[in-house]
Amino acid sequence: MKKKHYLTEEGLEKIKAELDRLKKERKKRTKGDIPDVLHSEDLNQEYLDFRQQIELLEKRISKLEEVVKNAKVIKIPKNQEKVQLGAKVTVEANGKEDEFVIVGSLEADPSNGRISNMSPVGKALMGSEKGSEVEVSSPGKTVYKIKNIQY
Amino acid sequence: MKNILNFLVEAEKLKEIPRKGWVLRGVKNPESIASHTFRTTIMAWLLEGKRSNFKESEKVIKTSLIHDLCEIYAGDTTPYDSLILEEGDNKKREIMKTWPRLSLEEKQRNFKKKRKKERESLKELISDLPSDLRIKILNFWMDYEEKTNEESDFFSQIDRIESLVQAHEYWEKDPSFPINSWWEWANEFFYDPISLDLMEVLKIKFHNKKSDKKTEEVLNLLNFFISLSVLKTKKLERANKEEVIAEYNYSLALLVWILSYGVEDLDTGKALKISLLNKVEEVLDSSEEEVNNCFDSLPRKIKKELKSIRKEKEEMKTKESKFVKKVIDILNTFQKEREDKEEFTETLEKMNEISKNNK
Repeated sequence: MKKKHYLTEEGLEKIKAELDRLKKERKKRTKGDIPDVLHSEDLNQEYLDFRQQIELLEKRISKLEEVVKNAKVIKIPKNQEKVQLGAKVTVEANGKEDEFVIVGSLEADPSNGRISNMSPVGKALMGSEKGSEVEVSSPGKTVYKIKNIQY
Repeated sequence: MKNILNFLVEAEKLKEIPRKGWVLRGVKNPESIASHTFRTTIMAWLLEGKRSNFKESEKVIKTSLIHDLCEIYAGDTTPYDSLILEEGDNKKREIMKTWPRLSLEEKQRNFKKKRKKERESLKELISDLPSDLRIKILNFWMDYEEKTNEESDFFSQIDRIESLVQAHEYWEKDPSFPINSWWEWANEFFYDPISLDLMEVLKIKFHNKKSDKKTEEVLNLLNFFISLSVLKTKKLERANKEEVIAEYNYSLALLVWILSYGVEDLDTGKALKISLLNKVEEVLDSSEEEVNNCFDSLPRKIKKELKSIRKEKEEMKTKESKFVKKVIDILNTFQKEREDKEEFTETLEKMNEISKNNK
């Protein structure tokens, strides 16, 4: 069973628009824009670059189609004082300020500031309110003081 | 073939680049990127067995083999780089004690910059490879970077688990190694169920957490992966003076993949697995009781997979095992010619031969 992609409404619209743009691009490229194939494909760099671009385009299109098909829109919660999926959270950890967005696992990328709701920190923060302190203890103890929640 | 040879010469540089995270933390003789890649590849292969019965093991093995190639030109970057640059090299030790905390904007900016640099580096590195192979490598890398599918997403977690295991091994040797910052990061990074299980058993093994029946199987897997670390320090007799088994096997697996391209009726996945087990008998046949116990108590399907690949490798009856043997010969010739600073005449001859005979 395919996992659901939790996306904000805005995020899903953005993906749909990108998908639309890529499909138009594919149509344009494969309609009459194909470089001439000379005697040997191996010698024709222009043709190879074209093929490479088309393949990458196809890949991206199929990924986006899969995302749209399995998307579940995250509704902005009524109570915006609590951390839920889609929240941009500002915390203080070890005396330093940090910021991240809580997302579903398939969109998670901590180095890009997106933390999964299934990670130990994501789990601990979910449902917490602004001003509260959340402790994540394993092996060392880290206290996350929630300074701000934005949707 | 000359282009493939040039690529191999460049890929060998992964053995010369020590992982920056260890250098910054003051680890003596830190592992190279190639060593890290080798154990990550084995872990990805075997854990993929646990995840979905080896259905996608070839995919995760290939992803692993190329995931750090971009660092040959782009260099190894860490989340600490901008902080060290800002605060000065003399504050390095202090900075490394905690996980760097950055604004969302800074994280996104660093992320974009790193990805762009790495992508350009990889494209440059593979620019002279045959086009189909070049596209394949680039696609595997993009899948990994963008986590386009479940396997690449899973692999990106296993890649980091290997680093977390290695961090504990360094910490065990030197208690001044800052392990807490690793856990601050790990608690934000991992979400995949298998990775979360491995995190739990790391706590059991290294942080005195109580073990229970449920965690036994994963703990045995962790112990097996730890036992493989001997390959990161043990030198191979035939190889060049500085090279360790993990690094040699990395080159071997990469070359098996590249040379298998276009070879008819060859199960590349199987050939890759055979190459990964090269010299692993150093571990599997260890007389140490602890190693034996952890191998015997591996999950049944993983043990079965290891045994069957090892049997094939030893019996040398299949096309795949014979192919790997030929690639070992090519790699040894290549290394010898490189060491003697000779032209790669014999290597090229052998590469042409393997390609001709198998098509």
